[in-house]
Amino acid sequence: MSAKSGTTGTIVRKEMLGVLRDGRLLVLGLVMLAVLCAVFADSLQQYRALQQEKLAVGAAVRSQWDSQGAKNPHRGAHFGLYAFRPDSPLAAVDPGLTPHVGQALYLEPHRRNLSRFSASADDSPAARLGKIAPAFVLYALLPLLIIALCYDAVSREREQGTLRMSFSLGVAGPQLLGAKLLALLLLFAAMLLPAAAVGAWLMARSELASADMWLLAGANCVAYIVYCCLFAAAAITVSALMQHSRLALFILVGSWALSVLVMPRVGAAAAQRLLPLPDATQFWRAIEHDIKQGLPGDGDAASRAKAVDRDILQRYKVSKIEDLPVGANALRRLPRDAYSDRVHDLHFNALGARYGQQQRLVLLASLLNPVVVMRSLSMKLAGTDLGHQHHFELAAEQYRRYVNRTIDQWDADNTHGVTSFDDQYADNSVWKMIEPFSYQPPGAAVAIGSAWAEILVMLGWLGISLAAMSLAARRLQP
Amino acid sequence: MTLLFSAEWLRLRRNRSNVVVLLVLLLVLAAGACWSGLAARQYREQAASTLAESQNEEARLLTRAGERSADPVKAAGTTFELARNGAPAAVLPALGGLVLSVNRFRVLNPEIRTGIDPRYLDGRKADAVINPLLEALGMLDFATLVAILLPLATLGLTFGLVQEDREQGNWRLSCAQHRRPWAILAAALLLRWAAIVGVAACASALAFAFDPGADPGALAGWLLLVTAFSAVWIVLAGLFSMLPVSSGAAAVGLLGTWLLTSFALPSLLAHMANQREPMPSRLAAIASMRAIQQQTEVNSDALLRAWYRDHPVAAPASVTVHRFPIAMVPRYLEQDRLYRPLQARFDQARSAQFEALAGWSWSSPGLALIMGADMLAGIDAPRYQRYLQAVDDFEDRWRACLVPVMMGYRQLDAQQLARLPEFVMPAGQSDTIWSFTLRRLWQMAGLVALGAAILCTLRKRFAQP
Repeated sequence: MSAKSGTTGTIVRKEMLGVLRDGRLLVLGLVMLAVLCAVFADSLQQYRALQQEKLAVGAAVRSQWDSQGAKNPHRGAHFGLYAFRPDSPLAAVDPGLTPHVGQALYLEPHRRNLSRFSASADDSPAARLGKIAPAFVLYALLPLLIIALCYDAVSREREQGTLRMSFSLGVAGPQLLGAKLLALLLLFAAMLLPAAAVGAWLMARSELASADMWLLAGANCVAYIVYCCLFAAAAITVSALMQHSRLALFILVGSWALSVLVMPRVGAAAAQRLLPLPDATQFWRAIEHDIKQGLPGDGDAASRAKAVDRDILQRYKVSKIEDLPVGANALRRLPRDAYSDRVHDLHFNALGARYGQQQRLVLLASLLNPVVVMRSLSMKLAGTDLGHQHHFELAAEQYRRYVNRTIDQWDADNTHGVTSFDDQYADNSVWKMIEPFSYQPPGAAVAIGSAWAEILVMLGWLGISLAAMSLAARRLQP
Repeated sequence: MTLLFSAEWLRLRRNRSNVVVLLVLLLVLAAGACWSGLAARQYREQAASTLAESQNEEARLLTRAGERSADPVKAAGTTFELARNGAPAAVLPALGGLVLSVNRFRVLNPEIRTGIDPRYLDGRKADAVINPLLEALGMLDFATLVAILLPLATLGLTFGLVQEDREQGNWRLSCAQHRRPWAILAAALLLRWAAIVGVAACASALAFAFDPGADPGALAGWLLLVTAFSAVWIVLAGLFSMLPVSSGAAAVGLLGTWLLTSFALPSLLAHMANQREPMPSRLAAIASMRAIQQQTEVNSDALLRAWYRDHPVAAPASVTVHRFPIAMVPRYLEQDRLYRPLQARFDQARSAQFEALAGWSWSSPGLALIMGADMLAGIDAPRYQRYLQAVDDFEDRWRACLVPVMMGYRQLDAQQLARLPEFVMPAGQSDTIWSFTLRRLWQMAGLVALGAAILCTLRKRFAQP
């Protein structure tokens, strides 16, 4: 047993020495390290600038709301508020969907909106070839580095005849390949450790750094270790199976291009075609239609309004709306908006469900592709995925309803009968009465819990690649 | 020479890995072509249906507007309804090369609804519904696929053309048998170039065939760009074949060049373009727009009075107290007058960045190809800026017809209803597209000429076994 581990240790040392002397690791590793650090520093700087801007604009928007002056309360409500989503510092590592979702959500009476002003709409054509973010370097370029270092790990030994020599010394295939994998992983770890340390140091300086963030960052590191491990195992397997390094490089680079550049796009295209989204005009028109015509069995807007009036007159025991001891407009608005919220919920939930179906289809298509799984896992851990965005939009929607209910209730309580929309009877004290929007993103447990499917698929892939390597090792011929 | 070509053709054909590379390229490009072609077809159908729906809505409102009302408030309400919802959607017409960049049409809204109230505040009038996840994964735009895959296929087909032969001792034989060993490499490169261009041309023709709005001019322009793009990579492969390194090192070097020119440089250029023509902040614009909203609301009465003062002829005789919606109209107009320059800054910056990138695109052939594709599809930033200007112009003409009538508490008569404006996208951009395409072609041809000149000058190096 000890002789075997001694041999393994010797092979690991020999392998590490060989790779270091080859010069490829030094050149490519240093380039990768420099690129990763530069991209991360730039991304973190952009993240900080964006968060500061969100805080500043959020404060400005709130101040504009607070100092509207004398207005009709409903018109004041129509001035609206904006909700800005605070991002976790991990978004600097993986911006995920952040550039593609709107940067602000407009909150106004009667209707729910989608986030607007996505940064990607202002992107130049260069962005279509890929945006360089730290996550891109990790999920796309790191596997390429692994391929560049591992493609000839076994085939070159075969070409040079040293594999035959190793076999004649009694080294078994599994032992040789296992030692090679271990050596390469140790070298990758040594190469990436400084980048991780620099990243941790930079992130520790963020005001939003928390225990949850460190937990998620740790989980992300583990995920990337598994990712590297499965790519290294796959590359060594291909190198062991191919007679020539050339063919191994061909297959590995081709697979990389397909899995990183082509398959995610194919998955997205398939999702778009098989599960199409409604076009914007159709989507908003359907909501408008359901509010006007009513959901099945509810009657149209006019009949619902009559029923509301009847109910109000009955409740306050008066015969005319004008005689109400409370504000009639606001009292009518409350059930009308509640109905509108119900209709919006139906359509937004259907849209959210369709997003979810598309996401699942992409994930299903990516069962063959660990790159998409890693991207999805990384986004979930960084809090920049669809789930986190949905969580924020729901919180903002609850807040929108709270704002409008509060103002309508105040309006009803402070007026009587029917008032004109031109009457200005609310002042700054009413606007200031509204609590500011405070958003608490989901914790680490929720993020990790939502990623169980990706974690399982990644572990499955690791198992498959190690099993394939083990099989290739047993069949290894000099 | 014919013998050389036939020998090289045999070498290309009989090497299984070359056949696999070409087949995979054909398969992926054909899949991308089918998807893009169908997406382009669907886009055109959807645009036509949106236009038809909005024209139906306009017709419905025109019929209602034709029904006379004696009550001036009702008459004003009817005209307001027509002004607000009756304008036909302003649709950006796609050009003949739509298949090349169909997804850009989904990100930048090409169907804007105009009317009387400011459209900038209302996401429903200006934004598309799009799943951000699919956008982040990258869409299967045909031009992007070609820009990414063609260099990789070149790498696969030219791997070790000279170095591997040297490693295996075959190049020594080639040198012994041929007076000009460089001609062997030249023939091999030309054949591979023809094979790649052939595959790309077949897939392109397939994509264009799916799109009913495609035109042969756009296909011809695209094929010229693809031919030049492919030539750049073939010449680069030739240059890497010349290096005194192993076949693996040369392949890794070419792969590095591909990463650099396809990903790193475009990102760097985009960063430089943003430094030169900074994109204004959308978030800061929100605060500015709200300030305008508040200011015009506070000045609402003054704006109303000013409007009637400036348009004494339109003032109604019978109405003295103005309420919603008429009381809001001058405020809407003022808001738009102030919003437009704010919004225009984004379009100007996008357009200026596009121009800056076009100037530097010689350093990244992939970027040049995508920009050319955008031009052929009709979704390049300058054209989109012209489209937004045309939308503004249409909105102004629409309002000019309806606002005085509405503010006078009247309805449009039959003649005025028949003369309502329609959205027209200014035509006559074909010379711009061709000059842009030709400039990209010259850029790439320059790179090819430079590479070929280096190869020619140093051709004697290939004589070393």
